[in-house]
Amino acid sequence: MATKLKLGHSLCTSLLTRVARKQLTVRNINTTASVFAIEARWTAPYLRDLAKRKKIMEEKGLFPQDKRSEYIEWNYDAELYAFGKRLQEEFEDEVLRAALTDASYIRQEIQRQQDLGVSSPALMMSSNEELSDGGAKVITDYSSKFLRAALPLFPEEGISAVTEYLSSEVVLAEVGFGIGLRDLILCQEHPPAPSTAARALQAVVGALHASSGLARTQAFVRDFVLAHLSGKDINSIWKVEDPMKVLSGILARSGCGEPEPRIIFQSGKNTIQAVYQVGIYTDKNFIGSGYGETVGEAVEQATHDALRRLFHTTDSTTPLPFGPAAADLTLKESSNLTLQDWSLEKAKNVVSC
Amino acid sequence: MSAVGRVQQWATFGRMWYLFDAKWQNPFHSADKIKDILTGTHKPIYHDLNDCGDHVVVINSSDIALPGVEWEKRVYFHHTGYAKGASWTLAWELHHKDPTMILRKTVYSKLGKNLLRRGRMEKLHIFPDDKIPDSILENVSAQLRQMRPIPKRLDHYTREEVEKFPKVVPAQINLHLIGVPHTSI
Amino acid sequence: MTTKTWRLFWGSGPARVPLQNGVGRYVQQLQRITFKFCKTHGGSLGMREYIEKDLVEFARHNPGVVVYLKPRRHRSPCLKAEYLNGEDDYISTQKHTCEDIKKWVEYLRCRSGYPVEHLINYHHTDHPSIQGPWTPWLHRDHKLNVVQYPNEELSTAHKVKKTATEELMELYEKQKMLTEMEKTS
Repeated sequence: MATKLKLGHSLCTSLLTRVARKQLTVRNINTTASVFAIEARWTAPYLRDLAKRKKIMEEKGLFPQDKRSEYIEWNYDAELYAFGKRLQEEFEDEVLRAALTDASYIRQEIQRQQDLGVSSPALMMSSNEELSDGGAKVITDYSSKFLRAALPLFPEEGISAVTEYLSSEVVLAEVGFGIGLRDLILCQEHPPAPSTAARALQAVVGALHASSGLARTQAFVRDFVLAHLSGKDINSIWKVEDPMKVLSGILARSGCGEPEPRIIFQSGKNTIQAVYQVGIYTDKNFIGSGYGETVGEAVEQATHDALRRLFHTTDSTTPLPFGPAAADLTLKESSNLTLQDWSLEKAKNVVSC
Repeated sequence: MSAVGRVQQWATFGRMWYLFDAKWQNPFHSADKIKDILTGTHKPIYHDLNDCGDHVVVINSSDIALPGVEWEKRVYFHHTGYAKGASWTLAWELHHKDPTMILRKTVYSKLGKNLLRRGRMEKLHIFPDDKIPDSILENVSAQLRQMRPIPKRLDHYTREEVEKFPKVVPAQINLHLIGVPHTSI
Repeated sequence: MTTKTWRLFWGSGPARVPLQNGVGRYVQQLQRITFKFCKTHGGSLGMREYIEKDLVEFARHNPGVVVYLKPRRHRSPCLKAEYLNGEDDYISTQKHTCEDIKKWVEYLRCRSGYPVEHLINYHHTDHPSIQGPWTPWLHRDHKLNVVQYPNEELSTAHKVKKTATEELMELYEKQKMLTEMEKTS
């Protein structure tokens, strides 16, 4: 009996000391996460598993996604009013409605009415196809003019590549979803496909053109579509192929000598972590440098750098004008120099704004 | 990451290979300098989680100069782990056995006691003389400056210099100077 | 919950903004807010007061936000905010006063919709340096590229003070000059 009591007593004290230690222990290899009320041991795997299941269900189309417009608290008129106000733009109601109506939605509605027995369905709706065509034109037109004015020495091939990137489905869909079109678009599928969202954004631009005129529309394109370029490296969107050939062509047309790559620095030549810096020179004048893990890579990077310096698209060039700075920009109608024509002589005549 | 960003990262974290001539250098002072380079603390990008240490190739480690009575009094302890396995080796004895050992042990003791220590020691290449394999010499991209001047011995002076040197007392006594032919005095 | 644990659960990241907001023009990210409340229950007293006094003012000042009222019998009141990036935020306002709700509405109005997480930096840029990247060989003399290692000139320690020999030589030269001057005079 006495031993039992003693045992019970010692158990009690050990428990108490464990509780006391809970507040005092320093974390070491023997303490478990639960001592510090950190549930990470199970939380992270659990969340990971949930995410995995969700992904599988989404792939199979089993994951239910509520349509916001099916909620009780939904007022499409109020939503459309707020949409314009939020973007600080004035839209004509009818045009905006048309811009947000996808052709697939109208087809779906007609089909539904026919299924219900209406022989000639009368729908007072128009789809956004025309508006989106108009909008797409404004976007590409303004983007190229803006980029030509902002980057006067950038070759025309680059301008068209960047414009193409800006009017690509991915960018336009991202912008469209970013200004809240996800819930507003009337279309067959849910959630709206990126292509639908891109078309709707183009149509919104078209609707703005119809409602408020070209100047407002261009400002809209600049603030929402072109702003996508801020913080992005324009050279990674358009990459010159065979840069050495292009550079030698430019230098030959400009009356300079052949580009000559020379190693400026090297370290750890015989190791896996070798590093080289190569400079490009023409007539003993430095025109660019690049790094690389091999000499060949460094030469290629250096050539790209020389071209960037010629085209004024290095990291240190002035960023694209947005906000108040964009108001002073005179748009450039005529195309920039092409890669075939680009030379230092011709570049001197280019007026930069 | 763009191609430019990738090579920029490669260059910023590029490994330098420094050469250090340990001739007539105090290994304990030199180790302070070498340690900084092995850990990368001399770089503006240094951070605890950065792996930015550089390589150091030390030559002429057999010609190090220990201060004071360190050659006779400094003792290196080793224990084999077995009973009676302890041994104490004097600095001059250790240097005789392996002329790179004193510098290596000094740098090792100066490095932080953490898991990176062994990896950092791998970046230290010590050679007893100035004969380095070409594969290592080709990697070298810079040289570290020594910390103290190498003293000039009498036999390093030319005969004219010695003759021109002002003598306070005319050399009448037959002095025997090491390494100098008697006739030159 | 400590900061460390919070970070563990809710993550951390740089300050970010949806869709380059503010580069061109600023767009308020709150797109709709729903006030859910009970018309009779005491828990919704503050919410009802807010709706009577301040809601119209709020809606007038924020035409870009769609305001919904959703009365629900005998259920606790709450605010539900929806943002342009598709995220939503829920705040229970059970037994909150009118002033409290006003502050919560203001909080929801100013948010970007991204989850509240630990900021690893208060500023962020995609172009960290317009001067170009730092490299270990920045501002290095290009002459060093053609140097043969080991190089004595690069290795020799900087001279800090004169040696005794040099000082002695200087004294001697001075003395010699003085004696010559005396002779000529």
